[in-house]
Amino acid sequence: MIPYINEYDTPECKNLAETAKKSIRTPASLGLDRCIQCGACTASCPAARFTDYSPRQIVKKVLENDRGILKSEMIWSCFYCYSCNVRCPRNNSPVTIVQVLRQMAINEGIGVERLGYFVEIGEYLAVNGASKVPSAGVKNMERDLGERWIKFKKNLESIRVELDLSSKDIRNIHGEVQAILEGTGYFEREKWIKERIQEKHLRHLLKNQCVNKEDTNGEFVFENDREHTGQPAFII
Amino acid sequence: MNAALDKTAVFICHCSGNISEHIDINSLKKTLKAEGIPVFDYEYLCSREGQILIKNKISERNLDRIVIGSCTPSKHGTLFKKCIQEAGLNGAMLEIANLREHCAWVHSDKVEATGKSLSLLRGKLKRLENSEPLGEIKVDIIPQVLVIGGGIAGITAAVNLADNGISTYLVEKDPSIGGNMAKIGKVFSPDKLAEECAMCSLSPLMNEVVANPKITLFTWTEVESLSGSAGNFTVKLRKKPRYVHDNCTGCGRCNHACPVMVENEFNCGSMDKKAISLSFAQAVPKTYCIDPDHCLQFNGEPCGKCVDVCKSVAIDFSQKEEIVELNVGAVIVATGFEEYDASQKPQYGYGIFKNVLTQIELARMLGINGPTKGALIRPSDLSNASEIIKASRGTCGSENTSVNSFDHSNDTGTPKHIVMIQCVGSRDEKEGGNRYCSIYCCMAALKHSSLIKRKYPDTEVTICYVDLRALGFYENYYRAVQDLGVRFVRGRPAEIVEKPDKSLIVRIEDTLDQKIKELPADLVVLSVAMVPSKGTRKIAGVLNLSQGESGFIKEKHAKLKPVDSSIEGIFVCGTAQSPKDITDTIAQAGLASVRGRAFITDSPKTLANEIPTFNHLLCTKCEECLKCPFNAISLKENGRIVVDPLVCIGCGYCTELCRNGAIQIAGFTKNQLKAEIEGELEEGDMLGFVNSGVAFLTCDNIGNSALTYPSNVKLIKVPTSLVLDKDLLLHAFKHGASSILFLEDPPDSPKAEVIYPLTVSHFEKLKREMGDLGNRLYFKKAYVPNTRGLAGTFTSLAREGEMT
Repeated sequence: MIPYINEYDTPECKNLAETAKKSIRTPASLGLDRCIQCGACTASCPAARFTDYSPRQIVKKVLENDRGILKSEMIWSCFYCYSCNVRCPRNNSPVTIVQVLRQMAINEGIGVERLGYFVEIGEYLAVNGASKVPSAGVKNMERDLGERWIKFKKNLESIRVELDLSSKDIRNIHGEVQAILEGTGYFEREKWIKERIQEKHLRHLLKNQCVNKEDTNGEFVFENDREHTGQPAFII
Repeated sequence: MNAALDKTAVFICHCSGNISEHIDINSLKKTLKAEGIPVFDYEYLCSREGQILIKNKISERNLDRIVIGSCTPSKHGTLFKKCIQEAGLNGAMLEIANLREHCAWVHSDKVEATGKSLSLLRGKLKRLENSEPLGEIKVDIIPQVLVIGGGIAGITAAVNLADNGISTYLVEKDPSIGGNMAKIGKVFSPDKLAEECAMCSLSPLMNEVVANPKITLFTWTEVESLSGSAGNFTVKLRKKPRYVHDNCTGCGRCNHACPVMVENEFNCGSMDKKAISLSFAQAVPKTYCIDPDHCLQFNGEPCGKCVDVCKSVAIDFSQKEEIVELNVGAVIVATGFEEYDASQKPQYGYGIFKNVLTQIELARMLGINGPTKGALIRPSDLSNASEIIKASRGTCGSENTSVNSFDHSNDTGTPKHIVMIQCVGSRDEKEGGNRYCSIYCCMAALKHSSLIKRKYPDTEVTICYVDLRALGFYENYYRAVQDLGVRFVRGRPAEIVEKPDKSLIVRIEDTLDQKIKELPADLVVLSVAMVPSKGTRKIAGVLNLSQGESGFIKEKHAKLKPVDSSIEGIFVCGTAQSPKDITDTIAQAGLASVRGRAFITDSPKTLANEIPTFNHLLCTKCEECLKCPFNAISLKENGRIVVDPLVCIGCGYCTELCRNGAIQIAGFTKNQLKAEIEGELEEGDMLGFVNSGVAFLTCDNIGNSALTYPSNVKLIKVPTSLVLDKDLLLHAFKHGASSILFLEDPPDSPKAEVIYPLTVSHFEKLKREMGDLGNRLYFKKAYVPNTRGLAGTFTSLAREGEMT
């Protein structure tokens, strides 16, 4: 199955640099070609201080059209603080380039398992028209925010009544959000992503039983899976 | 036959076969002779013999109007004009028909070419019937030059001018000349791989300025306004009061006695100056100056201690500012640069952390006449600086030449780790940054590193760079500095962090190691960008000079005219024009002085006389013509409209602005143009009105390129298409034009940029006014390289009546 690829986000171009520049995420003033490899971005990057991530190297690899970068761990360290863009003397933006690279990786099924955590948000959005903290993260929130927050959450309805507010009902009852997601192909992509995640999960389980190789960097282990045949194919 | 043509003759040049082989000159002669017009032909009219022939015929036959059929007027127009002037005729009584580039070279059929030559000649003959003699406009140029700015650029320009015997005024807004070069202490020399004392080179030049009888120096003076035009400028200067007269001997007693300490701008803000002071010890002129903002006398607490000790009775609190008016022929702007304000890059902590300095602040610190007398001390330690200096003196003894006196590494308070950061505010597209490279700062960093390493060998110096620019022979200097053990890290630091003891950490990615590093530093020096000084920005406004996108004063042509500003007669040099070092500044200042000299000695100036004439009977004083985009037209007190020949470029826009037909361009009057149309046009012709600039050149180039087009293409030169009106166009259609093309200059020069949009809207207006006939009007820009395209346009218009 061919995933829904957003032509505005990751247009098909002859090299990575063209895709990054043509992507709707990046402004026309993006200085990608003008990078002088000065390293101001990396020196400013909080992720670079604690991991191997180097925004400068990302830009270098994009300019060199090194598609191996899509399979690399590096592109998943950025958390969009934009310090790189603030300090870049050539008005470059490794943060937006990394976003495009991530989408390109997902399109090839690489790194989909990282989206597992966030899928819940999309589901919730479709029904209620609002976002939520995924259940996997709620435990962390409880721990970080403490007893008071838990109590507040438990008694939210009665507190609302006390404050003279209407009952909490955030469902998007007219279904506009759902319609938008449907019309923009979101559900197609969500379905595809879920299938890929499931596939990977299964393969991981099976792999532990039948294959010796280490699954590194989110690479496909089975060659057949390169073509999207519509059904997850695993060889037992 | 018109009586006016009684004394007219035609001269046709063979042009060594270029014309004679493609055009039947004999038949032309016969036809015109039959109409009573004498025709003379010769092999080379441009030769000496040709000129003599013309002059002889003029005197023999008492001729007063001449038509020459030859190559393009652009080639020998001036020559032929001079020739007939020498024969006693007015220059406007000559018309040149381009029988070569517009005829012989572009039409292959001899019969057709001959027919076209005849119409070209007839056109010119008819035009001449309506020509009037035009007077020459000459204006004397004032043989004096004003130099604004007393730094190394201004001083060099002034001294060069004076050496050429030219009376020069030098105006400087500070109390002393010297500029930035006086601040920097040392200059680097690729010859000796060592640093030379800047003041030792500068001082003699400064003294020369005062000593030279041809230079009049104004300091503590600003330029208020400039009026007039090139060759005749009137400048108003505002001389600020020093409160000290010129008989001051510079003894310094007043300085000793003064109780008020003020911020010393020369020493980058350190509080070591008095309210009455010199800018620096070697100031020129050596006249003290009182700062009225801080002097007690002006702030309600009469003190007078300086007056008490002054032996020359030079101090005068009642001195007032003076306005001085000067008349000069040319102006040279040399107002220099200032350092970029590094607080715009807060990540580097300038202005926040004490131990972050700029290169010039470091230069002051290292300077022997600086706030620490040359001792390198961390600014955070400056409060106990005097102890440190005493201690260091004690260590190495007094002025002896023992080896130890040069090694100050044991001085307390000396920074042990210095990090320099390049490109602060340069090569930076971000908010508050400048895109350009400031050229001098890599060398300045190397220079200071060298000075520091030699004086304090135990101090580590690290330079953080992206590209190290040591151009030309300065590469040797870079090499020598590397030998001193200076370290280089390639990367642009992200930020600086201060530790509790006021030392700093510089966070940088070493892009060669691909590792993030944190460099400890006692002192960080920022190599900040060179930006136009406040004085440069101000003078650009006062003189109305074009500025580049970064505020530097724009030169006319970056390569070919680097010192001409956008205004004729005003020149620019030094760092006011663009970032550069002292070497290039001096070279450019020399060029500016030569240009200034050439300008004022080319006197009297003959101005173009094809400028607007005003019919004061038709003029209703509606003042529409004052909208001239070059401000060349003005209304005098006596109620007459006049044009300034020094400013007017003869574009003809005023002829469109005037609703009453009171304005005509001399040499391109309506009658002349109508006559030329009448004489030249035949039924079915394509008529092209060609701008006399680039467009005319391009038409000539079609001939040079051996391209062809049909012979029913007739071209008429105009200053611009702005002189054409509906009446003229109808006249053309009446006389057989099938289509009319406006051929204009592209907006590639400052003047064309103004004129081009006017021609476009003028054309569109005419098209509308002409109704159906408007469909037969065409407009095209002529680009010089596009001769083939233009020939193609002519061809398709002439054949199909349509532009393809």
